[in-house]
Amino acid sequence: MATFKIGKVVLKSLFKKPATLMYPVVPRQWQERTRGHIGIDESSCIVCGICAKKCPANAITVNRNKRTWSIERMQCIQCNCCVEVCPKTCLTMENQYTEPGGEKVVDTFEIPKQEKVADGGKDSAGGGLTCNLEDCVYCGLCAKNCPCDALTVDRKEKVWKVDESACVSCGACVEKCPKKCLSLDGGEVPAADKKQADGATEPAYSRPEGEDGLRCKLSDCIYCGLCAKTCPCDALEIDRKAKTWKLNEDACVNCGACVNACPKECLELV
Amino acid sequence: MSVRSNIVPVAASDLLPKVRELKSEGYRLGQICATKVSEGFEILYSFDKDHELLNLKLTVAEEEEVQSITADFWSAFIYENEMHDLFGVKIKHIALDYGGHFFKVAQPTPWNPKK
Amino acid sequence: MGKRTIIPFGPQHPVLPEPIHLDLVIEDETVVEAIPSIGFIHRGLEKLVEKKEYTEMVYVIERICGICSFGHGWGYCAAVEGAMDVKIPERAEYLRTIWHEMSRIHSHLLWLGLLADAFGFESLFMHCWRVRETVLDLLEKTTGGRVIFSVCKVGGVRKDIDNETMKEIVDTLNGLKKEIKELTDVFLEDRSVKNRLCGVGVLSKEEAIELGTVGPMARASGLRQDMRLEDSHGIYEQLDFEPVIAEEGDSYARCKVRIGEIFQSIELIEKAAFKIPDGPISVEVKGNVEGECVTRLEQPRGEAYYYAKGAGTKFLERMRVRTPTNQNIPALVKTLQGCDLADVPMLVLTIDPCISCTER
Repeated sequence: MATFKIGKVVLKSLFKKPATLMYPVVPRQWQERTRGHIGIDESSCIVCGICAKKCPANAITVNRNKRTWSIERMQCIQCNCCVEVCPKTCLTMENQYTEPGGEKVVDTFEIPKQEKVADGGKDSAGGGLTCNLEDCVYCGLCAKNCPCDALTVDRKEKVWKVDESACVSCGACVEKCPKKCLSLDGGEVPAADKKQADGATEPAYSRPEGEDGLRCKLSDCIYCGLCAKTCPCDALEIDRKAKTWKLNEDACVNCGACVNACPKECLELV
Repeated sequence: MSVRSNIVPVAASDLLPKVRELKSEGYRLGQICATKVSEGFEILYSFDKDHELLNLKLTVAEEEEVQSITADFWSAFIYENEMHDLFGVKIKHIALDYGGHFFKVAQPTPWNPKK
Repeated sequence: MGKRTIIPFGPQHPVLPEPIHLDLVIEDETVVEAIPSIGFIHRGLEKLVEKKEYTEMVYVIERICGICSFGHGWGYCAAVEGAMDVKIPERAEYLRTIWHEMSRIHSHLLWLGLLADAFGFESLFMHCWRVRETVLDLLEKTTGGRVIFSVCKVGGVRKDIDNETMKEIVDTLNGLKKEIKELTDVFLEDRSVKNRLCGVGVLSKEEAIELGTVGPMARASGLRQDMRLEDSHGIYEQLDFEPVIAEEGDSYARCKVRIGEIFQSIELIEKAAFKIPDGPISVEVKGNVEGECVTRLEQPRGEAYYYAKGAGTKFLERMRVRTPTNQNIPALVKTLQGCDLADVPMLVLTIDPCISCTER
């Protein structure tokens, strides 16, 4: 048993520099990783609103009509979620805390119009996304990747729908589409469509013309078997020696994975 | 990890004998929680002995009364009162029954609102 | 038999940072019965999972509590990963362990300070928190947050620690050992402190099992019970982990166990920093949660229990978080019976109550 065990510590601290800073006269040193507040680069923002949707604290409000981006500083929990989901990486995490204040602060930023959007002649409020339904296989990848749940795809009913009010033209679906049949602002699809239509009139196919489904241009096929390897449904069977290319129609879901994998570009989905 | 979850279904009539058996084997109560499912409530009783987890899953209709296990595990009163206050699970014979005043809720059974 | 009086204790009380209410039935100066009641700040976060996507929910779950925030994030992610059958990279497990042990150090230092405050030793309280500040700085440097780290995500962790910083962590913590030792010696050896702690609020081993006590509280009663021994998460098996145990079951033993754990955590971090493998820190998680999973985690305050259930949508159907304080309240009620009224504030503190945790 000892008495006044703390004496040593107390004496030491008597002659040491204070452990605290003279805040606010002496400013705090921020760490590089400190999550302080969210900053925005207005020039690259496309007002898509994904940050607002993903914010766990509902601190961000995006007004697409007025083109404003606002954040309730005191409600933000600095989780870095919005920075991660921003498709244009225009949000950043700055390492200075929001200053304490007497009332809640809302910071609003005006987002300047982007020239690209103006060129398309379309309003930024959705509607820019189109799908070339002739090429569409209704695989549903676009709907899965849509951050706003704006797309509805039904493979059985062959329905592809975009909810124009929900779509923010972020382009996430365009990148993910295996058939590249989606486009923003219309422009490119007709050209691509034309190219495919041109190539479709060559002889020796695995199935007669006019019939829907996956077909192989047998005259070009080298029976390498890459398509069978990439098929997620094991619907293809290739025998290089016997030079056969067989498709199990029931198993095939027309996803087009094999089409992309084919080195000779002899596969296509009709 | 999910293999370790070790969830065993149990019938309402077997609950008390089973709990008593676990108690005599030296298990301790881990927790009790309710989940609202379409057929009523799913109540999960978790027990632990030497870091081995055992979960009993009891499915009851919403109106059905559940026997309290506070006779064997007194500490269950917290969870049973919680289930009663938040979900409206009817529990009989709780050793320390707060009668719906364990949580200060603005509306009755907030996690299972009555239409 | 003396006259019985009921004294309300809390929800607002100088010793309590958070609201819990106890109805203390006392006879003269002795407590004969205590009836706890909580629910003053219940937030219903378990219900919120039905409205927030499971990937976003991590950041909400972390905010259940300001001290064991990392543990909550980890427990939630582990439960969701379990339900989805995701295996996270080993480096992520190591990083999670290191951060978790660091938060244990700062939690225990915080608790020591609060305990000192509860028995009226203000300067000791200040010094404990001063030392804790160094740990918080390390955490801020590596994660970006002082108490809410937001580094756990479903599928791994969001930030990496480079070798240089890892070395700095180990060096700084080793340097802290001496300072922590000076302070913990006060708790363990000073006469006035021992007078307040020894023999107060004894909980026997049998009672501890019966009441389902968890964490340092159980280990102070001689139970070898620590979820870090369960090899389902983390890498404690590779660190030759053995829990700190005391036999006495009184407040002094609880203090001793927690002090032991501070030094143990520093050693665990050192071992982990030495062994940590290179590699990715997260895996991409696709799809929605389907199925259910139970995981448990040893938080600074004891075993926390997580149950996740998903029905194939991007929202979980049910998330259950059972926190250690929830489980220790019955034991608190038991230890309060027969104690002096003057010891009540200190006994409430020895379970390391975290009411925010309890009222998810």
